[in-house]
Amino acid sequence: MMEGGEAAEPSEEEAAMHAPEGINAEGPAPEARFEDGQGAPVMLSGLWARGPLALVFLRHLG
Amino acid sequence: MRRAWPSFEERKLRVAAVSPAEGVPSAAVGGALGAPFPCLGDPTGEAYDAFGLGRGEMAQMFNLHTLSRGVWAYLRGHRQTKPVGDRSRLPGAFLIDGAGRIRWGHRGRDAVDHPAASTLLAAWDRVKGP
Repeated sequence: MMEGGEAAEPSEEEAAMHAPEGINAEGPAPEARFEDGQGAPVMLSGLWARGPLALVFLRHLG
Repeated sequence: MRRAWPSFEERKLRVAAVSPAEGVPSAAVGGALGAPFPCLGDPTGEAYDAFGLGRGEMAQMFNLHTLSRGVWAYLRGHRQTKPVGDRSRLPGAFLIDGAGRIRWGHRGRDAVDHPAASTLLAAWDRVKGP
């Protein structure tokens, strides 16, 4: 749960995170193709088209 | 993530996890990560590459930070099972709006450098706009 009040100004480190190297912050997300749990293709554009998305890349599962 | 899940729902911010392996049934992710969101597979690594998430060097996989996080997780009762997928991929997270624009991103500097759920929520509150 978020704490109340306004968010603090981002630190220099956070600001750097906001614009990841090689990716244009505020720019379009690259298209990407994934597999779902049954091996069926899932396109990234189909995910964000349904609303805002937090896309979390894991190192691995295990 | 389990505790933060209502905050994601409150913001209508959906979550999709990506694994550098084949797609994983959602039930397995729910058990591993504690939240009901899909885990998609990227066995070729093309999506990791597209988002600039490369393979870690040895020093990014094994260092004081990764070892201490591993010990901390172990002491909290987490046990690692046999990893699946490309174990050298670095983690990351990106917030994408409903128009397909990247609004915020974080690329892991080592194997355990991934933003907490609270960081994702705070970032979204900052960048989502009116």
